[in-house]
Amino acid sequence: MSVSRGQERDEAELVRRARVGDPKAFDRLVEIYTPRLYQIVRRFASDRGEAEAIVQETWLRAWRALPRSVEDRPLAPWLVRIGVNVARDIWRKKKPLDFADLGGEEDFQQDEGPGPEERMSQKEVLERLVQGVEHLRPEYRMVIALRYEGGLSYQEIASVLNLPINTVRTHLHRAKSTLRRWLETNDV
Amino acid sequence: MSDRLDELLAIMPADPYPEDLADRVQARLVQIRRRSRRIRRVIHFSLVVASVVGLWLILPRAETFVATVPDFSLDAVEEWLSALARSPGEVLLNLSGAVMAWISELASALEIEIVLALGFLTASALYGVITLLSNGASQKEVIA
Repeated sequence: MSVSRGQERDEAELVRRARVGDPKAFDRLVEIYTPRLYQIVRRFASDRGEAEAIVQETWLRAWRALPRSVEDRPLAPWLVRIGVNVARDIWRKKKPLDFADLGGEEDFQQDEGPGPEERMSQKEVLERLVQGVEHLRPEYRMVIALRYEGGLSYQEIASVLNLPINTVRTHLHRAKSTLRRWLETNDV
Repeated sequence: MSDRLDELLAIMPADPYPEDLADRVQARLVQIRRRSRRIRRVIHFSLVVASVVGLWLILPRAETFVATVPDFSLDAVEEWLSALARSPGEVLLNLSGAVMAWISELASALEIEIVLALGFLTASALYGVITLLSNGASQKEVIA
């Protein structure tokens, strides 16, 4: 969710006005940030419907919380953090078995030689990869979404997920090992 | 290999963005703002009514209420402070006795109407102060 310096200034002004209750400024922020927020949320949500519900609830919570939020804090990571919390709340209410789990706790070794990414066509690999991400554990999907859709640093991901940075590294490592195995087992 | 996976993860195809999603969010926000405006109006109206009722209840009974307020003078306070310095234990014991006596006098003197009126007026005043403070903070931010 990166923006240029000029945009940053305009958006900071919008945020400032929204914080003091200007609905037009807030609505403009909704227009600006919803597409990127949706892409990140969609990557870790179970389906489109859930992603849309999370995005809507995120903005409602943001509207209520913005006047009390810390000034001069970048809006994007704050929004993503709310989105993550909304998702966790939704998932907490669901049964854990709603999520397919690829496992991957024990798989840490790096493979030698060409992997499935090299053997399959890029289109195929990407399709498999998307399926693989959808089957990951929720916490792994989140780090993948924040890292690759949101372009967040490890530090930012740790802050958004409220986790130690080493846990973020571990989650990311395990998620990628799991995805590598998923590509191997679905090799065509 | 891990670099290749990183690259692939960064270019994974995404679902198309539902174009009306921002509009739907804004429509829900409009509903929520309307509802909070309605709630605020109801609260304002209720507090105005409470203030009017409070004044209407307390004004005819003002004399009774004033009679229960302890009469403080500067001399009395000075005398009490010097007594406190001389023998704090005894003064505090007397004070707690006086407070208990005043509370029981207040309870018997105050009619239920006065208690209600005080409640209404206090609630209205508190709400007014809170609203003023939050508006003040918002204005400061706009000016800054």
